[in-house]
Amino acid sequence: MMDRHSPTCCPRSEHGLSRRALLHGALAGGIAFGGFGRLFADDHAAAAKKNDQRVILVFMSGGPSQFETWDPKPGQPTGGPHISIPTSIPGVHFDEYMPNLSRLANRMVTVRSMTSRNGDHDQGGYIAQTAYNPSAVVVPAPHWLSVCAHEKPATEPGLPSYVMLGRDNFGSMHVPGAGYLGAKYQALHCAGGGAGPQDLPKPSEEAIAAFARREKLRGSFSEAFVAGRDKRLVESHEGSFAQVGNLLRSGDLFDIQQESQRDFDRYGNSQLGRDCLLARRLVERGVPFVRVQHQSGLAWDKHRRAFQSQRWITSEFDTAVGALIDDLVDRGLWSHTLLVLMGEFGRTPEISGQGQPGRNHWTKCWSLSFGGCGLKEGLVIGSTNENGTDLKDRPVTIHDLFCTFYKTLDINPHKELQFENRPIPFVEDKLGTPLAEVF
Amino acid sequence: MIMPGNLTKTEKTYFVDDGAKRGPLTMFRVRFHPTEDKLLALCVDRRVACWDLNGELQTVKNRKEKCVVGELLCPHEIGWIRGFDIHPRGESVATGGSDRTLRLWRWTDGRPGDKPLQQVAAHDGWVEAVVFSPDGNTLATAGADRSVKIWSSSDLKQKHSLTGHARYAADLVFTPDGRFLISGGEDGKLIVWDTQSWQTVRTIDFGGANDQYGQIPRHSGVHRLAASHDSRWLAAAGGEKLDVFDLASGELVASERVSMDVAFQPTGNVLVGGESEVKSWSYQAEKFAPPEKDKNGKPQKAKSIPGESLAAIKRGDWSLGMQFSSDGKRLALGKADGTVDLYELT
Repeated sequence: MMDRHSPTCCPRSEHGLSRRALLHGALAGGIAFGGFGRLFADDHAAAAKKNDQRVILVFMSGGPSQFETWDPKPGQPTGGPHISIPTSIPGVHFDEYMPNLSRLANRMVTVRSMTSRNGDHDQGGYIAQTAYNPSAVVVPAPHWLSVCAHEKPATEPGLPSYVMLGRDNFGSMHVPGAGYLGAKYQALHCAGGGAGPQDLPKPSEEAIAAFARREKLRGSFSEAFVAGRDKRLVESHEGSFAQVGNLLRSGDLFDIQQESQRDFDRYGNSQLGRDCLLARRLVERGVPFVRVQHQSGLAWDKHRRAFQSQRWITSEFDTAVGALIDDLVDRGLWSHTLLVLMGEFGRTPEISGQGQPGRNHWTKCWSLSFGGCGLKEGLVIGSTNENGTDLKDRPVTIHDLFCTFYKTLDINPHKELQFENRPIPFVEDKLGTPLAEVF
Repeated sequence: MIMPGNLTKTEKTYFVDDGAKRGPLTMFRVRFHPTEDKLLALCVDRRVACWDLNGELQTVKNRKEKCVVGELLCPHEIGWIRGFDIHPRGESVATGGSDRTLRLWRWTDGRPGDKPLQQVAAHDGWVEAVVFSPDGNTLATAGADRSVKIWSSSDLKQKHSLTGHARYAADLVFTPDGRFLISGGEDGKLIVWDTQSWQTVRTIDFGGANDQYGQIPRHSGVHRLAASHDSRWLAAAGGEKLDVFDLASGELVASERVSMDVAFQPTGNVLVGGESEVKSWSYQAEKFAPPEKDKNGKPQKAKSIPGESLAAIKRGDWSLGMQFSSDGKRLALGKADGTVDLYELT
């Protein structure tokens, strides 16, 4: 009789979990909406063509204040206590706690005229990461990096196409999953703070052999489970297990301890710093799409006594992201890596907050920044009025933004996938146009 | 000495607003002018609010009650004024702001002058606190650069730069006898400085800091300090507690669960503290004592403030700013709605 604690025999609970995981993956991936049967008309082999473009999205959950980042208004009643500092672009100032991003402004595109409509964190986060309003389609829209993983998967066998660093403890919609694309395009989750996937054993021959033994056993159970069912239902589920095996064979992919002390120092002693360092490590090794969560929860949601804490989060962000840009440039990755720095919306010009002084949610005019991947550098797009209470020129919508991102990656933003005989474009209703200025 | 009594709100509310659309001017610090019936306050603005305590009540838009309406003076061009103080003889006002400057304004004709008498770049970061020494000859400032600086108050020449805090000092207080300056920091430390040598006398661990520091404002060490009229006791308010220390020994002698703000009466044994709810005590100084120790010598829970509790005052969430008048008879309490209320100690 086999020892129930033997490493070669996994307990029943693991199989119970795998079935639950299957159902979970099915819900997240769209089985509940009719199955994967006619989902992908594309030839995936063709999609896996040579692709060296990368994306790192640093998501600033909570709605970062444009006044305390990229669009300061010092001296105005709405300006708050922060002052501004000059950037490397003549005449353009950023928040005083962004010295690195000010220095690197001539590398980036700064949009000061973002405008959107949904000021709810959950829904705003969903729109800002899927290009879809939550109610626009009957199936969950995928995260745009899942779309990218679908269109431009990792070329190196065994590497994940999309990795998510850090958890967002807010609502389930705030960090969209793979939606109708299915579990295969879901991000590989890492706990954050520079850690790799949770519970992944250290890569070794023993670990790989033990995994292979478990897979053999699990495979026999799965075979029995599939009997009489649609085999395609479990394909993506099987893929997840295959990916675990690939990760075991990927060696030190996630081991940031291999990085130099100099890098640890310049990225800063923070979870974000370590995650940005890991993000750089991943894209350098060939992982094409990485989402970095800046702190769990809604760290940028500064309703109450905002300005005491604002400077610390801005500083932490500036140190980590500034080092990331420098590092990408130093290593020759900048020309093919799109770096996106954004949250779900901005914050009010009024500073009454929900616990004074603070700023509430604001969608009318807000800011973000992106750069790299061959885009024009040192651009500031759009502006707000003197007090920051309204757009002055060049409104940019979420849909415009996603058209820009997809175009940067040579993905047609209005391409349609067939799901349940319905054509579903990557950007909702084929809205938006790319920002011509950046190309 | 025990001063029994109670705090009674006066009929006047002091209000300030400049009409700009940006929300109410949340009070941050308040000060009575020592020789004139004037009240000044910091109010999340680049200027200082100033009221005539005997001013006429006026109707104010969107407010039910009539108020004494103040002016906004001592303008910095950008940022907010974070710390200010009035010269002990009322000759000038000193302001320090997030624009990094320290400015001295001459007090003439019942108000600060329109232009600063002196102005210096004080810190490499926001000026968080400004305080005059009891003799008026010295100014101390605390900055976001973690330093505490000592200035000649006549010409704003820097005399010393003190280091010791791992994070910025949020508040400063001189003991009334002028012997010590105490700084309280975001790092949860209280540093007692000798005003002759400007050396550290002792460092007191207040706590209340966490590894995210200002990310969670309530958990960011020391917010406000006060020293008793006899220079014996130091009170420190943080996000979740108010501690009283014996300045001679540095020992904790009392603690209460009130937060963020604190003031000693300058003429007697009354202590007030608290943010949304202000509590006050007519304390018995002779009964301040360190916590008992268990059989292993470990200190037990700190004792409450000994003496008589006076009336509790609800002033609303997020309210800051409290100070007694120099005669100890009036208490000003700032609020988050652009007003300051005045209480009489009866």
